[in-house]
Amino acid sequence: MSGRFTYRRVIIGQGAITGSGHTVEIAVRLAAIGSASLKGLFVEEAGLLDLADLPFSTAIKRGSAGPRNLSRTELEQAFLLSARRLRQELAERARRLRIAWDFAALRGDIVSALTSECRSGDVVVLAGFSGGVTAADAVAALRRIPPEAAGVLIAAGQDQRKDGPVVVIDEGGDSGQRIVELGEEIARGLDLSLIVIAHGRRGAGDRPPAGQEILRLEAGSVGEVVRALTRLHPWCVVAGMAGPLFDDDQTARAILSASAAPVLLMRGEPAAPQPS
Amino acid sequence: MASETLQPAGGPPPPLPAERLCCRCDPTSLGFATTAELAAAPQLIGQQRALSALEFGASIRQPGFNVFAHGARGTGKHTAIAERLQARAAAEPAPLDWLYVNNFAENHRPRAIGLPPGEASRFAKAMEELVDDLRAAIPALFEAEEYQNRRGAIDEEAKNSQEQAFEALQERAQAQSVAILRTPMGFALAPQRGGQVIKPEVFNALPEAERREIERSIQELQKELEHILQQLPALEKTRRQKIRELTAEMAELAVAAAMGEIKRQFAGSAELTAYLEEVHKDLVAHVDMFLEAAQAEAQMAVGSPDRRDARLRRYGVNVVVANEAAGDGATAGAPVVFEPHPTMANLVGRIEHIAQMGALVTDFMLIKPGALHRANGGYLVLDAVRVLTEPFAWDALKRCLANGAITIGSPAEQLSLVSTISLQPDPVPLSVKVVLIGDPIIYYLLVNLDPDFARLFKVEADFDDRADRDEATVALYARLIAGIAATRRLRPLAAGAVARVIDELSRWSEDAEKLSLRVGPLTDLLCEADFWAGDAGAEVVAAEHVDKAIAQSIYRADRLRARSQEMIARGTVLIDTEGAVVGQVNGLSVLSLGSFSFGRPTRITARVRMGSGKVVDIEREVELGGPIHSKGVLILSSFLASRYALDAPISLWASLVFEQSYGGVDGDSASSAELYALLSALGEVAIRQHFAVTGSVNQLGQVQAIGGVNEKIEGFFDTCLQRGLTGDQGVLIPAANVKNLMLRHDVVAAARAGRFHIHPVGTVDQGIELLTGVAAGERGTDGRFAGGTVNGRVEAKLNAFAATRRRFGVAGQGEEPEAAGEGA
Repeated sequence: MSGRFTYRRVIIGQGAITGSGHTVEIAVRLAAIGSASLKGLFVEEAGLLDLADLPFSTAIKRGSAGPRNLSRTELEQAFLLSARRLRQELAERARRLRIAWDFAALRGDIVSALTSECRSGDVVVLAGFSGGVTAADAVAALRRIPPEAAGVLIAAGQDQRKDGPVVVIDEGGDSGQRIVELGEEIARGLDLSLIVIAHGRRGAGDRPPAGQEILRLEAGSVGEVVRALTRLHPWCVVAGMAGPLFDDDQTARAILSASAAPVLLMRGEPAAPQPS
Repeated sequence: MASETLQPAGGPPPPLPAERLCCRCDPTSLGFATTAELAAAPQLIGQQRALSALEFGASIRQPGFNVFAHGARGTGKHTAIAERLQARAAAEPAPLDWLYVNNFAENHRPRAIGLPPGEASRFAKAMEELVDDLRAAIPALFEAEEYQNRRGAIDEEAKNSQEQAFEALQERAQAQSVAILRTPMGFALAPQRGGQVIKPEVFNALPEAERREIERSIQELQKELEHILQQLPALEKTRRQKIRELTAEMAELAVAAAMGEIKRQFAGSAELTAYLEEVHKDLVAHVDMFLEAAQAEAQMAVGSPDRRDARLRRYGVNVVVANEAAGDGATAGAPVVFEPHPTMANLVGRIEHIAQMGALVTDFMLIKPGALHRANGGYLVLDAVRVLTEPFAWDALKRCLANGAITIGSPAEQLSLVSTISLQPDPVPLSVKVVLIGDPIIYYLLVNLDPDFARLFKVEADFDDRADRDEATVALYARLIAGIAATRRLRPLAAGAVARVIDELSRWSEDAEKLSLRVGPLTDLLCEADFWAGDAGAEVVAAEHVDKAIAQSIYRADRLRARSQEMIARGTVLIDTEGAVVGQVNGLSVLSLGSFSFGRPTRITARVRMGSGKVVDIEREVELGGPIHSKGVLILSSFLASRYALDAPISLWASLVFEQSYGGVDGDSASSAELYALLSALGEVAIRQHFAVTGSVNQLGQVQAIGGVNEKIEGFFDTCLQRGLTGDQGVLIPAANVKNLMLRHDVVAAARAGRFHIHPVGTVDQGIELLTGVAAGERGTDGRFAGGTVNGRVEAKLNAFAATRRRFGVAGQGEEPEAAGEGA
């Protein structure tokens, strides 16, 4: 065993339009699995308030007949409600799993708030990114996370299947092995199946099967990884941030687009093995 | 005049010889030692008329020729009907099977389909297998790579369309320093500087031309954004439609492959072919249901009794009638159904409900068949009283028979008592022969009161309750008894026991020349005799065991008879059995308590005085007398008037009463006794109290037959026996009842010893002579009865009353002299 990934805290940042129950659930589970604490941040997007103060600010919904005026009061009420909801969800879930937690609400932008809050050994949860334009935003945000963060969880905005598998992208080497072990730990903690996508030619396909593992897929190209993720409907995806897949913006965007599930990216070398 | 021919010739009739009091069967005449030597006879004797009617009713195939079989209880109606119908049905073809399936167009109207016998179960099994196959095949097909790839391509195409539109807009927006933002209220466009939304104060500080330019750019971009967002639902709709088409295409492949075999198997039935086409279309249209069901079933607890998802019930087959298929040219036979509990639901079927989320729901699988479904194409046997007493059952039965179809409904629905989801299943065509069994009174009431009855039950099967007692019938009865003994595994009966049983059957029929056809009570008697034979350790049932069975049966029921005799013996009820009294006679009545009847004497008294020709029946005045009793009193009044008051108004006021009678009195069997009491009172001639009298009387003075003669005689005999038989005592019975005499052994023995007498009486004159010892008297050539005779005395008294009444009229003492007396 080459040592396991450890993290001390999970920070989840959500705004009025980026929250979801599934993201909260996965953050809480991640904290429970890593014996970490939980920090919830609700960010009132300052840019939206600025926009509401502009004389011509309007908003339009999907399928609506036309735009309507964007009012600051209405926006503030929406922030208040969302903050209350996030706090309540965190409290309930953390209490159920006996996790230490705290919560704060602040004004600014989410990524900046998370960046300034991030400490060494944190896993940062970027919530509400899924598909299309927002996948690009997610990658941009990912690049802004400080290097001392242990990992980043990029969560989709929509609720996913509760019984899907944990999918691990194994890019080979020791780092890949540790990613597989972390994925297995998550799968066992949640009593889910584990599927390993072995990407590249670095011996990933030769590993002995991990516990919980029900399937191992060989993916020679990024396209194959994307197709596999599209079909597997995972509960979450676990991968390494430093590997070739997420090192490249274009590839990262494609993978984030393909996975409708949260993607946990672990950074760099793990901590030294624990004495136990 | 007819009355002249009724005058006694040669005095009162002598008592009957002992051999006329009971017809005894001679065991030696039977020609066997025990019934073990006899071949069993069919359980039905002497019912040719009823069986012929039953045969006719079962054979005729026109509507409305259903059968009502009636007759006394215990005459073997059920057994006979069961045997005859089952024999007929076995030779008839098995009828259609019936099943209910879902009506995909109108779910609340399940469809009924008839199939050749044996096919319904086969079809149900085939459909079950089809659904099982599809439960596995459809999820597998949709998890297969081909479907996933094609679906992924559709999703990708839709996503790309959306993304391309957004990306193009975003690029144009970025070129104009405008950001597309998501807000809780939707998408918004915001001017940017350095990647941040321009703050209001910065924006307001910009030159007006620049502000207008930004606003213009945003307005243009907003129009594009609006257009894109308005297109999204259409794009999504297109995506869903494409997925639906793909799903239908894939489903069609799976369904067509799975249904090929079942369609071939049942191609012979046009109805099934049409139904299977509907199933095919529905399966393709609802393939998602199989995918959802697969998930739901996977989540059900392993080992739960039925893991099949409820949604798939729509493809179920509810077999309501499954007949056995005939094999190798043999016929499986038509059904003969006996429904012992003919409620409406048990007759026409019912629709059950199950509770779901607090509401009662149902579907075609919860349709339960009734007896009419099971008997369709055959015979249904019902107890008439039970059908009539079950709410709505009679109406439902008539409706089905009249319509020629079984329509399922419930009383609750008819009365609008429940408001819940229910069904209107297709009616099932009905071709059944219904046989109702009941008492004659039910038959006659229905004929008179229900206009539908005669139209629907045109065949009357009348079961007789007695047969002629002749040598051949007795021999047949012996075989019947042998058959019952064999069937019930009783000990064989000795010839003496059979003879005793034959005698008892005559007594049951109240006729020495007849035998009761009530097989039920006969079977009970044989069983009881067998018990006593066993109790005595006998191998064969002997006459003494039959006697004991009869005696014990009476003993168990005769507590009130004993109490009645005790009250007479202790003087609580006043009955004289010695001496002679004017205006007083011993009448006889019968009390029926359940299956046991017994006779007892009742004192009848009469009082007379002058009046306007009225005989007061005190029982009627206090409403204790029934209409037949009142009729008897009026007849005797008419007799008096026509015999004695030929040339003057009858000026009599008389009262008649049943002394110490506190219950109702009905029947006219005491009318002769009442007349004797009246004549005694008028003629002032005492009646001998060692006689008791029974018999009705007509206007001509003839004594007519009555019922219960044996019990009545035995009732007076018991009273006399308690006090000691004097040798004078006896009973006057109508001569027409002599053939009904089947008296107890002890009564016959007393008569043989000259200690008790049975006198057959044909006329009132014969009776009054016996009772008074005074000649009745005949009219002489002067038109008058001889003085000193009973009739002469009566006539003289009536003439005296008439003269007195005339005197009252002349003296102006009032027109209705009896009015004061009657009111007193």
